[in-house]
Amino acid sequence: MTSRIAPRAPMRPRPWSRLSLVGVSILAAACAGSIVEPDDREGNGPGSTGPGKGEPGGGSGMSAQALCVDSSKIDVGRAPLRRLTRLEYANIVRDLLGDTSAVAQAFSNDEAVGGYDANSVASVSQLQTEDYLEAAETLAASAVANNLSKLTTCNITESSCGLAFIESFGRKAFRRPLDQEEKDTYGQLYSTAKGQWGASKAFELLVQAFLSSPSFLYLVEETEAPAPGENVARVTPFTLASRMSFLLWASGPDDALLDAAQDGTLDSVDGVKTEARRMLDDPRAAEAVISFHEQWLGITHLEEAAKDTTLFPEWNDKLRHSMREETRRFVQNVVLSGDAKLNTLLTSSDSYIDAPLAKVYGVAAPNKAFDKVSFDASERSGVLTHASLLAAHSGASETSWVHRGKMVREQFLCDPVTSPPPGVESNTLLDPSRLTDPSCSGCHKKMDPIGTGFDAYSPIGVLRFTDEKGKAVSELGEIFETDAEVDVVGAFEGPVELAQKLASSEAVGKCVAVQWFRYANRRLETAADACSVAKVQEEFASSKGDIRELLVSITTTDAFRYRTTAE
Amino acid sequence: MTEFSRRRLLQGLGAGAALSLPFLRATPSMAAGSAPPKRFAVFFSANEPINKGYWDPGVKSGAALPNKLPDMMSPLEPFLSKLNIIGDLKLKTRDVDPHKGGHTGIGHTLTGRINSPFPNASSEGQYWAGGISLDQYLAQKMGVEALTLGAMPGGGSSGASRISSLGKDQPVHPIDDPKKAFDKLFANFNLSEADAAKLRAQKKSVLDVVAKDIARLKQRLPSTDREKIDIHLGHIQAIETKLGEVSQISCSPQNPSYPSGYDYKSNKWLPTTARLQMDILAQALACGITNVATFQLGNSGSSQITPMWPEENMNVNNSYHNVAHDWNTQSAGEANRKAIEKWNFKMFAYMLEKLDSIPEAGGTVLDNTVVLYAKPIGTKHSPYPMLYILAGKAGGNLQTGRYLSFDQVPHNNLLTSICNLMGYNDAKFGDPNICTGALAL
Repeated sequence: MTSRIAPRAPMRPRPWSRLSLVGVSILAAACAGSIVEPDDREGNGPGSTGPGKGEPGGGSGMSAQALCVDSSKIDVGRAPLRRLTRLEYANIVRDLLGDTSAVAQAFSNDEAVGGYDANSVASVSQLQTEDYLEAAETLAASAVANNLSKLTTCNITESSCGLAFIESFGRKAFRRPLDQEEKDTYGQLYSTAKGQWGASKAFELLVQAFLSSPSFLYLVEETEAPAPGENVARVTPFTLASRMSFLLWASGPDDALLDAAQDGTLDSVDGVKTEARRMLDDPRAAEAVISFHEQWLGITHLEEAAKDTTLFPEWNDKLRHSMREETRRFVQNVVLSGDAKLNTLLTSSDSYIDAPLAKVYGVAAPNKAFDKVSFDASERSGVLTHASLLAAHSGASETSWVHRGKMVREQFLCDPVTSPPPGVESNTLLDPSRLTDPSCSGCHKKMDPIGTGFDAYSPIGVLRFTDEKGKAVSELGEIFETDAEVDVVGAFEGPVELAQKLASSEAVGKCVAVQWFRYANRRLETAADACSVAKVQEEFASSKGDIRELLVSITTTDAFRYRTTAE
Repeated sequence: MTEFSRRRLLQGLGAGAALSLPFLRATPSMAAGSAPPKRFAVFFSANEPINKGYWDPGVKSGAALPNKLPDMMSPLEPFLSKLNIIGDLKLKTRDVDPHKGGHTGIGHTLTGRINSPFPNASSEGQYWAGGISLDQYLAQKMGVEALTLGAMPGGGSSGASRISSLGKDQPVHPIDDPKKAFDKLFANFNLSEADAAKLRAQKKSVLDVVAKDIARLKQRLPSTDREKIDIHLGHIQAIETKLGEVSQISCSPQNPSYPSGYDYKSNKWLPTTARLQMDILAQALACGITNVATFQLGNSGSSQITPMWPEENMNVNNSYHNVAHDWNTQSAGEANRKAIEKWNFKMFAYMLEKLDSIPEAGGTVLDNTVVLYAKPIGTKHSPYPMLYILAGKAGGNLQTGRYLSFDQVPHNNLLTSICNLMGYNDAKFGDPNICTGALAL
C-alpha cells in the first residue's frame, strides 16, 4: 500500500507564524486571563479538571514526584464515598445473576471527577433511587424466573437453603461477609416472604433487597483501626479486594478474590500482585481497560458527535459504532493480548476494522468484520489516528484545533487548560487570531498549534489533501513550551510524527501514570498522594511503559492500600 | 374524560415490565369542582439571547408590547397578550462566584446562589448548583413532586447540564426519555385490589430492609459521607409514602406516538423529543399530577446539539455552542445564530400553545400558570443584560402584555416575585446578600 500523501508537504509557514512572538513569550508563563472556551462539552470531558489548586502540579500535573519527600511516611488523599457507575452496575449484575439486559443504560449519566466516572460528589437523586428499585425488581424477577440455578442449587423451600443463599449471595453483593445483624434482617425477610408468598418469591425479594441496599450501590470502604494519633489506616482486605476488582474488572470481586481477602493472601504485597495478575488474565479485565481508554481519550464523545452528512455522506450510526469498536478491539489487543506497551498503543499501525471503516481508511475491506489489518505506517500511528478519536474531537463540518489540541495537551501532557472568563468575544474553531490576540493566546497556544498538526485528517478521520474549505492542508504542528515540564516541545509534522514523539517522552509516561492513578482511585491526586504517584511513575518507566505492570503497580501503592479515617 | 384513580396507578407496581414508581402526590385541589391551582413551569434553553439588539421590543419599560416583535422572537407573537418580556436584569450572583467563567450561569438561574465546585476542581465546568432551585422549593411548599424533563440535557457529570436542584450538591436529573416520563406519570394497569395489596406489601418488605441497611451503614461511615446516605434514606421514605397514597385525578392522557427509528438520545430526533416532553408536561399540569414542571432544552452550552433538522427548516452544520461563539465572525454566523434562537422561541411557543389549548375554569391552563423562559447567560457570556419572559397570568394575579425593564436589578428579585405570584410571601429568594426583594411587576 502506498501513501496517498506520498511526498510530505514541504515546510510551509505555520498558521500562527504571523503572531507576535514577543507576545507569546510574555504569556508563556500563564494560561490565566486567556479567553476562548477550549472545551464546551459540559463537564464530562476528559481532563475537565486538572490537579487541584495548591495541590502538587496545580497547573502542570507533572510535578507530584518532586513533592514526595519521605516515601516511608504513609499519607493518602481522602477517598469520598461513591456510588457504582453504570458500567460497574451492569458488570456486577452480569457476574451475580448472569444478566446482560443492559438495564443500567437507563440510569442517569455518571458524574465524572478528574475525567473519570466516579459518582462521588453529588448525592443520589430521587429519580435514580427509583430507578435502582425498579431495576432491582426487574433483575430479581428475571433471575428467579429464568436463571435460578445460577443463584442456588439447593432446595429453595428449605430454610437452610435460604440462609445459605443469604450468606453466599450477600457476600458477593456486599463484597464482604454479612454481619450477624444483616443475616438476621435478610433471614427475617426470607421467612416472612416465604410464609406469605412462597419460596420462589422469597428468593426474588432477597435478590431485590440486596440489589437495592446501599451496601451494594455504594463502594463502602472500611479500614483497620488506625495507629494512635494517625488518621490514615490500611483498608480491610475486603475493601482492598473491591478496589482491585473495580480497577481491574469494573465489577465486584469473584469468590476467589474474596477468599484471598479472607485467608490473608491480600495482606502481603506479593499476594496482591499475584491476584492482580490473575485478574488481568481474566476476560473481565477487558471492560475495565477499554473503559479507561475511552474516557482518557475522550472516545466517549463519539456517542454525541453529529456530522454534516452532506459533507460526509458515509457518516451514520453504524459507522460511529464501528469506529468505537475498532478502538475497543485495538486497546484490548495491545494491553491484554499484546505487549501492553504504551509505545505500541501510540505507534502500532495494526488495527481491527470492518468494511465501512475500510472506506474511511482508504484500504481494502477485510475478509471478516474487525479482522486485523495493517495500515501504511506513514498514514496511521496508534490511537491518535483512529477515526474514533479524530471524529470525537471534531465539529460537525470542520475539524477542531482546540478540541484535538486540548486532548493531547491535557490527556498526554497533563497540562490543564482553564476556561475563558465572561464577556469575551468568541471565534471559530479554525481561527488563527486566537494566537495573535494576547488575551487569547495564553491558553490557545497550548492547544491550537498541536491541533493544526491533525489537519490532514477530516472530521470523520479521512486522510485528505484539502480541508473542508477546499484549501490545501498543512500538517505542521508545534508543542509550545509552557510552565509544565514537558520534554516534547517543538515542531512536528502530522499526528504520526507526534505519536512517535509522545511515545518516547518521559513526561508522557508520567502523565499516563497519573491518568491511571485518577481512574484507579476515582479522584484527583493531592499532595498527600505524591509518593504513591511517584512510585507508579517510576515503576512504569522501569517496566518500559508496560500498562499491565502499571496496573499491578497501582494496586501496591499506599493510596490504594490505605485510606484516611478521621473526619 | 376518563377517571384515573391513583390507586389504579399504584396497582401497577410490580406488574411485569412496566414497574414505574409513580409521582409523589396528586394535588389535593384537583378534586372535582375546586378552583385550578397555581402552577409554575420553566422553559430553559442554552447559551445567550445573542445581544439586546436582537430581542429588545423597542418600547419603554411598562409599555404594552408592540404587535411585531424582533424577528427572532416572532414565534411568540400569538401569545403577546399573555406574556411579559423582562429585560436587563443581572445575574448578580456571578459577581460573587469564585469561578468567573461564562459557563456557570445555569447553576445560578433557578437557585439565585453561587455554585458548589467539586473538591480540587480547577475547571469552572466542575460544579453542582449551590442551593435549592425555585421549582423544587415551590414543589415542597405545595406538597407536590416537581416534574423535571429534558431533551438532550447531556452530561450528568456536572452542573453545567442541570437546572434543578434540591440543595447544594443535590442535582435533580431531568427525565430525558419521553417514554419513561409518560410511564412515570400515567402508566395504566389492570390489577385486582387483592393483587395490588400484595405487590405493595412485597415492595414495602424490601424498602424496610433497605432502610435498616442505611441506618446500619451510616454508623460505619465518616461524618462527611453520612449526609449522602441520609439523602438516600429520605428518598426511600418518600417512596414508602407514595406506596400508601390514594387520590383522584381526572384527565385523559394521550399516549405519545413515536416515529419509526425514534431515539431520544439522538440529535436527529431532538425536535421530536422536545415536543413529546412538552406534551407530557402540559398533560401533567392539566391532570393535576403536579403543579411544578421544568423543561430544559439542551443544557448550558448545548454543544451536543447540532441543528441539522431539514424538517424544521434548520440546516446549521455546527454545534449550537460553536455557533453561539462564532456568529459574528463568519458569513453565515449571524443567520445561523438567529435561526437557532428563533427555533428556541418556536419551541417555547409550542409549550405556551399546549398550555393555552387546555381549557379550565376561568380560561386555560396557561392563564393559571406562570411560565418562565430562561437562558443561563447574557450577551457575550456575561451576567448582563439578561432576557427573561414570564408567560401566563398566574390565575389573574399577573398583568401581561408588557415590556418590563429592570436595569441591573439582581435576577433573584424575579425568582422572589415568582414565589409571591404562587402565593408565598417570601421577601427574598436565593442569596440574601444579593436579593433585594420582589420586582414591581
